[in-house]
Amino acid sequence: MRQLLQKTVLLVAISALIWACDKVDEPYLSATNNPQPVTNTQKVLLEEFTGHKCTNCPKAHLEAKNIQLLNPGRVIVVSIHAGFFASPDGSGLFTADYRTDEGTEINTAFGVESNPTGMINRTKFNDKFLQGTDSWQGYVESALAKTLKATITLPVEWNSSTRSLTINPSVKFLEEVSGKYNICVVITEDSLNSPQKNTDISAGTVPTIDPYYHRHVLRKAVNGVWGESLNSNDGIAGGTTLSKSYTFVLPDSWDEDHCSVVAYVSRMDEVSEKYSVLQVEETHVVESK
Amino acid sequence: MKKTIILLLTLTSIFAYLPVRAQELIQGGTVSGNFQIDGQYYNEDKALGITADTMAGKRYGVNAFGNLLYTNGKFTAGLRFETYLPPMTGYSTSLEGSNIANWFADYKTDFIQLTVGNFYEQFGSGMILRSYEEWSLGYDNSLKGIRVKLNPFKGVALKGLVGYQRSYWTPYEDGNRGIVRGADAEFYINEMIPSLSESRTKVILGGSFVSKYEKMTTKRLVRGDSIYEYKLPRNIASFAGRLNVIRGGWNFMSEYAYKMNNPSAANNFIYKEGQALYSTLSWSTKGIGVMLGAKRVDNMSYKSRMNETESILDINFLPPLAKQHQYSFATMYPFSTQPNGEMAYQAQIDFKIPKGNLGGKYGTQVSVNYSQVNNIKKEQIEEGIPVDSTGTLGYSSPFFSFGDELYYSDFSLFITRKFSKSTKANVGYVYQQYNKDVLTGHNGEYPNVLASIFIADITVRLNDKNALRLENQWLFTKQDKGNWVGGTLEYTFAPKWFMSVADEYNYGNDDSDQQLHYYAISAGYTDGPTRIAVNYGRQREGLLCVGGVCRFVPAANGITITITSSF
Repeated sequence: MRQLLQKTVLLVAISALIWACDKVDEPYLSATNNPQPVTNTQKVLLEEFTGHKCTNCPKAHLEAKNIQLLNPGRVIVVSIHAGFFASPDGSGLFTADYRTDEGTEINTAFGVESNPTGMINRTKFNDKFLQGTDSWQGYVESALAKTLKATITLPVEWNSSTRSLTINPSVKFLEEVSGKYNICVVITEDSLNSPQKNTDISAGTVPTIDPYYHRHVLRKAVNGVWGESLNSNDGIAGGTTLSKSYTFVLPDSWDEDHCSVVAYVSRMDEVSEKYSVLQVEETHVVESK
Repeated sequence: MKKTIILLLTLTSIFAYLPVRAQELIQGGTVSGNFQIDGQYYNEDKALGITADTMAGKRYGVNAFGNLLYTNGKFTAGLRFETYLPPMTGYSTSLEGSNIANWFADYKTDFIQLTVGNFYEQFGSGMILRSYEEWSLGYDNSLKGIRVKLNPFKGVALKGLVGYQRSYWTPYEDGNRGIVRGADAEFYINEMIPSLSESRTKVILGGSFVSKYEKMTTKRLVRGDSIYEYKLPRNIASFAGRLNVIRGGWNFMSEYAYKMNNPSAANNFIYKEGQALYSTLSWSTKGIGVMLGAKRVDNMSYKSRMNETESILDINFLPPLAKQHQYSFATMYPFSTQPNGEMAYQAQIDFKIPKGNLGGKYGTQVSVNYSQVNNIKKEQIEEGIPVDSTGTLGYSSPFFSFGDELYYSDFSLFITRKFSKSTKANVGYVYQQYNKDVLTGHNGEYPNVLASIFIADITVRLNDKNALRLENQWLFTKQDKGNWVGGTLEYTFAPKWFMSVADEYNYGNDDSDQQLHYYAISAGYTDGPTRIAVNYGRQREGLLCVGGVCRFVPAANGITITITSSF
């Protein structure tokens, strides 16, 4: 009996050595084909929580850019500057203040405690909303692979003399859906130049990158932080198109050439009591002229 | 919950097939357990930056657990219930919830031990596998699966296991973390070879093997106009070998660990192998003890999820080589293990100056310790490719070379002396060099902190039941938050009551608004195995580290209640 056991243990150990390791040889990276833009498809909202005093954030900004390049036209990034790392100093390099009431409310609602962190479609992956930078790519691809249930068209009229925007989002539900839905419209501004702390030499100079162009910065929620209701009753029939209209005046200090309108339709999740994003669209203010 | 009950019932049925009759399981069994409840109520404190806004409605936090253990002869079963409603500040919000966290059933004879459910295990010093729980850190990486231990021959101990690790409350689902498999063998040479059984030299050899299997998603990288895909290994193996030689007062222990290519978030997805060497040599005889230790760690983060960056899902544990201090100022700048690379050594001498002129009436205990941790030398693998570049081998590193960057050093001298039957004193000096940038995850932001700490701790027993303890500490540094002074006065009415008042004053802070007092009043009551303690005051922010694993503790103001009990 003991001899048999001895042999079994030996056999198991040898098998373990054979199947339990994958040695990877150079080259460690293999070239792949560049993806082509696709239209009328599922898009994903990547909200990154960030701040100019967050030393690991430039690396996260690079990853967000990478993910956009890997999925051209399908990933819309909104950078939320909120919390300790986004707070301005009274003097010195870090006096810029990109915080917004809406961003702070989202930051608090999702319990953001550290930066960088990100949220994909405000949906839980691996039982949590907030994801570390290295998890974004995989979860974005999971979200992109979901069945397309709605499309958004987002025409934006820009009046340069009054600096007003007329935003007319329209959501078409491609199949019958249950639950309550909101549409949320926000303004982002790109390429805001101010110093950024940094710890990763591959992302820029250490310990501060100056100049640094902050991308996709959340500036304002046009129709409230959680948006406006699309349906008062439970569920929406397939083929239904629901439209809204909003106007918004861009403050003088915002550069219209770098501003975008982002609209997303979201569903109230009854378990988490949070709105998870179903579809998202982005239109640049000036391109819309 | 329902699932767990069904599982427990199933397990009980399974174990009924073992040579333990169901009736035996009920008759003569014993139930034991222990509990701990930690509750905090938080106040606003503008000086600490705590306002209604920052608290976001969180006025209190409760962390609690209860362990229940049923033992009957060779059979043991247990469960652990945990509650975090909500978690206290400084603990991960992912802990929020209340449920049975762990359960297990175990059957043990001289020949075999079988465990199903959650278990804790360590191979050697833990460098390729250690699952453990540390309540003060909110840390639990227990394995859930099955473990077998065998003692097939005299002096041979074999272990084998497979399982997945706990990740807060997140259920195991396909692909959300890896599966850990491992085997360990330990050979007690003196027991195996009868002719050596009486030898004064005892030799123990050990070897371990661990492998992680993780389902991979693809990971891509954009470089210029090109897109590349990482070749990611699904199975990542590690090996370790260890030797322990004991003779008289001498004890030598050494373990070497090797990990295969393991690109992960922790190492910026490089493909270098990991290596670690940990050795200690100690000698002791009456009145004196000496310990020397050395360690090298190179790319040894080993987690059961490739993308994990939080302090969870660690498969291994890298033992620290730095003194673990008890006094609060000496823990203000603690060492945290650097799995991506460190070279460390430590020396400690403990000796007793015998009674006499120098040693006093009762003798004097002296303890001297020095430890130092540097980076490892990292060299470019190729001209033009920076060290640690993602998607490359990463770097090369000569095994025995210290890097130039100091991470941490700690010199301490403690002298303990009893002056009379009623009076005892412990005085100490600690000098620390703390690379705040590296040890708190920054780069180029902070200067190294150089801190001198003085400690004087005097206990006077007033009579058989009453004792008074006065502890004073001073910390001097020109960096970080400047100088501190602290004091604690503690009165104990043995065996049931104690009370204390304490204050830590940051009088040297450059920011005059932050020259704050961190005051605290505490009282406690002990009745047999039950202890109740109440504390009111301010909590200083900082890192709490246990065994080199750290948790950030935010500043707080409020009342803390701790209740512990066992039966």
